[in-house]
Amino acid sequence: MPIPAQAPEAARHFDYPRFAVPRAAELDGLRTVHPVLIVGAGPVGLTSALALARAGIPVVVVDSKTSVSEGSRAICIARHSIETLDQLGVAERFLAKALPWTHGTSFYRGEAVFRLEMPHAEDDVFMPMYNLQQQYIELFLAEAAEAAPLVELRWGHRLEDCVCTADGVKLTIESPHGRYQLAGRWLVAADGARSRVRQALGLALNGASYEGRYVIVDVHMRSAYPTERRAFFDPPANPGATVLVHKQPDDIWRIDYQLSADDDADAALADDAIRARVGAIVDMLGEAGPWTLVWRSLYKAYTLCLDDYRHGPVLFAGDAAHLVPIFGVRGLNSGFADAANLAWKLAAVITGRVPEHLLDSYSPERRGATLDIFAQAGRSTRFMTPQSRGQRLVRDAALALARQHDFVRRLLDPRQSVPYSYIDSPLTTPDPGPGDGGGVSLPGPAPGSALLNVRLAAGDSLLDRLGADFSLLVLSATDVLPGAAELVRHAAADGVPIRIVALDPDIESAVRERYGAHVGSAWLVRPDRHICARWTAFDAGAACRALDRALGRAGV
Amino acid sequence: MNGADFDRAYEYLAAALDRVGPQHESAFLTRLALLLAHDCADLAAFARALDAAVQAGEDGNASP
Repeated sequence: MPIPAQAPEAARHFDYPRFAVPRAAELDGLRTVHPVLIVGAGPVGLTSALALARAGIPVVVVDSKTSVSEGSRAICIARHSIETLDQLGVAERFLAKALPWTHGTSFYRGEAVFRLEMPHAEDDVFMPMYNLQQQYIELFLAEAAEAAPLVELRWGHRLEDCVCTADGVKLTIESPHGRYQLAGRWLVAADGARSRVRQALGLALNGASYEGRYVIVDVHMRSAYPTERRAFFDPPANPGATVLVHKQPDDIWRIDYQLSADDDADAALADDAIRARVGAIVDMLGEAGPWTLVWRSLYKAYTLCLDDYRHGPVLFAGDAAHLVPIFGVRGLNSGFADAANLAWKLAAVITGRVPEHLLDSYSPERRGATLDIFAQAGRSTRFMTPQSRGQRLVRDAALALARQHDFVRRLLDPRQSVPYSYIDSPLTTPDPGPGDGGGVSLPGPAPGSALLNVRLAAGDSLLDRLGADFSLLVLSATDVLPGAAELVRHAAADGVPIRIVALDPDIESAVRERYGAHVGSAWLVRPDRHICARWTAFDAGAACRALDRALGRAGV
Repeated sequence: MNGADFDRAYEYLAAALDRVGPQHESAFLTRLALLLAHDCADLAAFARALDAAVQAGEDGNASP
């Protein structure tokens, strides 16, 4: 649990809202089965709610708290996540408050040995990463959800029990106005690392834990140092261990420092111990001004996840489904991707005529992403916190060689969160192989990967051309695309709208260049902006087959 | 060697160091260097690698 340095100190830097606690209509005799219930009004639950509402699905969100989360939590929002928020129409407030960044520096024993440069091109609309305290993330999402007519927020309503029935879920909810039963056809469990839904259903996270503990502190400190990620290996201020430093808005700095194996956790979290360590780190950073401690908590890296993210009518998302190491900022960012993934699938099953087993693709896609994170973040974690003498020897050797030798530097790259490719998903139609008249490796984003957003003109981007539905992007000078009507009719038969987006190859040259595309090239894009299939020349029959496949009709 | 293979080489080396244990590290690393010198079949490249490894330890007072 995060501990405020002093409660007034934390409250001095953020105005915690008090959300109204509503009276449940169920207490006054309402007996309805809601299409979708969401447990947890954190970033993942609220993003799921907004995405479902955007697709026209009414949702009820319950959460025991009546404000946003306290403490030092997620702070890094990756480009793909800000695009998700942009699609939900809420990115503006994030962009106004968050601190964007593109760079990082790694130091070894006080000397800079690696410069991290995240990919950022002239025609990228958003920056690779934004720092923003989770309190703001939750606040902005909660206010957007409050304003969304299809979202009903029940703050101060605590989940007591959850039972799966033949046709959905029955929740027992405790609220200040009384205890009641809440029935839903589907449930999104976004209730965090200690998920009550998970416990009620008797499900457990499986996986491993890593050696090495970190103290995570937020301090208030005025500094003109730019926003970037700084990693210190074996620094003078924390010999033998690692320190990470990030800047946040409101002059708040995140400092993560590793404890040594013989540090006692309780002693290390005591005020004096923290002040001494943080003081040494602040000195090392060359900061002379005063600083105050705002939050502190103890962190240990885990790679844990559920065996299946779908349990009948229940879809688990975010920390309720997976706990990943913080190194590489993949926790919250993968939670946003969970929300985007489950929302369009639930909407297609609820409002469309799409078979329920489309939802079976949620777990392989999102658990696949988690397992990929485990591999990537496991490597980052072993680099940040060597688990054995052998790991420490090679890590230190790599750091010592990095200043002179370019080839070693990839080992120092924290490989920050990037969207996972669903190339192996049953919903994805791969490029044709050599036997099917293909076999040519095409440039640009491949089937399964996330759409590459590019600026088309001032205030206009590829993302702005997409809707909440499937899209067919075509590089075509004319809006009248032969065969497009057939695809639209085919989609309509499933109750799944599709938008045809024609991009003029002469005007939208950024698309042509970044995608390496020719006139006539086409991409079928899912509502969560992953590419289902692509063609060098649009073929309505192939597009209909790819859409069927993306809707689970080819089996999941 | 491509990047992904180099990542693996790094992991293999860490695991092998743990297998031989701290007392035998120097002898193990020396044997390894001789085997790699033979495999790389390029005396000048081997000499450059030796110099680079010595130098990296001197620059950043990075010797353990």
